[in-house]
Amino acid sequence: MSFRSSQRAAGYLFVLPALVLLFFASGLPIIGIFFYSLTRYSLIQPPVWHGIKNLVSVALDPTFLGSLVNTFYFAAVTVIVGSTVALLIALLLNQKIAGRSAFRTAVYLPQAMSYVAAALIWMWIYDPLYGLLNALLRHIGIHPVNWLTDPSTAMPSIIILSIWRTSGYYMVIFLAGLQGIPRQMYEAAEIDGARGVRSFFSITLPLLMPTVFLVIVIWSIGAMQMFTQAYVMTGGGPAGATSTVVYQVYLNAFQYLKLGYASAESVVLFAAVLILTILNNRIFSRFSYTY
Amino acid sequence: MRRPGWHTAVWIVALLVAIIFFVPVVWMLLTSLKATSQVFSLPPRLLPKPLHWGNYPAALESAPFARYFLNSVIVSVSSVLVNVFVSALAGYALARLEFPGRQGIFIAILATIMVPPQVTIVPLFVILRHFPLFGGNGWNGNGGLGLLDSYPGLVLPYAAGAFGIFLMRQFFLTLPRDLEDSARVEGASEFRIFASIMLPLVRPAMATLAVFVFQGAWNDFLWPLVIIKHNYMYTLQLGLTIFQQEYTTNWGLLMAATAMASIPVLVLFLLAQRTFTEGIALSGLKT
Repeated sequence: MSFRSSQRAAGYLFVLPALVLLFFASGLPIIGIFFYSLTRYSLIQPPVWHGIKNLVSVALDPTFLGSLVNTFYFAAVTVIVGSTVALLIALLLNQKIAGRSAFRTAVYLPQAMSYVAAALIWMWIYDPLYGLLNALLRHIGIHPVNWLTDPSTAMPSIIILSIWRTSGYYMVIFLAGLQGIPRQMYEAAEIDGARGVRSFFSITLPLLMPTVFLVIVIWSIGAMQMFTQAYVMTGGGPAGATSTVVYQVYLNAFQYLKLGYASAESVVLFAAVLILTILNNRIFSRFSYTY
Repeated sequence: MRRPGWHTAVWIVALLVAIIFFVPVVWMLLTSLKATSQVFSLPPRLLPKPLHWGNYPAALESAPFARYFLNSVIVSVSSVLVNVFVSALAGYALARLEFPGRQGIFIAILATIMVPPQVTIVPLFVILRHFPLFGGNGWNGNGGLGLLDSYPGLVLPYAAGAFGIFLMRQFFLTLPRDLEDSARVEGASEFRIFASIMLPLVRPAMATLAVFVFQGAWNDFLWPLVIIKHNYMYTLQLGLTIFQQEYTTNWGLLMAATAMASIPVLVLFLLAQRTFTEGIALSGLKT
């Protein structure tokens, strides 16, 4: 027997377990959302063909459309503000200062916590009467805010907690990106008289663009699926202000047993994530530099 | 080169940033050590005085957190073992073995990155419920609850992932060729070459993947929320939300429970910090 044929057999055998697991965890389910989106399915009875009626009703459902807008709002603000914060902190903690690694640890400690734990901690901080945040506001003479029960502040409150929870992760990616920029670049620029803010805009940022792109894509995909914070902190309220697409999928599928309808909503989310990724790819590939 | 005082200014800003990020964690711990009268005081007291440890035993008595903890450990550890082994095996094959269709299989695996679990939660639930021959189901997948409310059901979404396979493949690609060639000449089987020669060389990648999978499985919420019915199968995250719904504003008790659910991952994180950050950096740079 030659090496080749034994290698071939081993190759298929070795990838088989991964393929089987991925087939059940990803492959079959992705076909599933398209299939079930075309059916009426209550789990108790087998699915019944329903054509594109689910997709049409989803497209006309004000609750769903509101949740879709909320999801985009959450994702856009979280990712734009969050990646700016993460980048600024990375720039700051890339400086050679005493205790730098302790500072970094403090910033990325929160991302080790679950969203459930993070949500509970911030619910307590946002408590209208005894919470830390309103105590601080009262201290400087500002009227306390009903953070999570006021429709205009509920989503921003969740955004703040999400940025707190996740920035550290992206700070580490930015730090790695910053360390990948060759030192000679800065030395050359300094000879030409560029330093500080100018060297940031003429060297750091352009060379960091691939990393920026990566962070925005990964974070957007994650943010589009926000669920836990809303489930724990607000139950999608007040008045639907923090309801997201995944929240609606959860409600329709597992509370109202409308699995076909929930699948149609999932299809929309999948399409949104896909379009977002492609769009980001298009925009950012123009700005990317290679060195 | 820099103006004098620059260093001090940077240092102070860095300190402030670190404090802002650290305060919520500290506030959780401080609150968990306060008696109710101190929790609900205006203006808020910063430090618990005297230290009140009672919230911890009280939380443990009000809900079976030990059981939730055990469930979380079982699910997270099994996810790590299965995922690391399966990913190493597949990553090795994709990097070092030659077989027709290898490239196509690799691309198909990478494509699953585009399918986040939250998107497919409905069909995944249906698949588990109708899984043949489990949980009272017949061969046709009907009759019982399948893999719902079970450990295998909880583990499935974390049991394999494109990221892990990709990570392992990249590591195996960096190893020198002659290692396995000489073993092959001596007649070692492919699995032996993998298990006793190649696997020990990718320990750092396995550690990175293990930490990621553990954290993901430990912290996940939506999946256990959807497939778990019985209290004795709750994971910590699920148990914590149910606990919160019951003790809505008993913040001393709630923060003690939150601390107990978070401390294991925080400790793991501090111990494995290097592995963790290197892994994050790796995932950022090499995709």
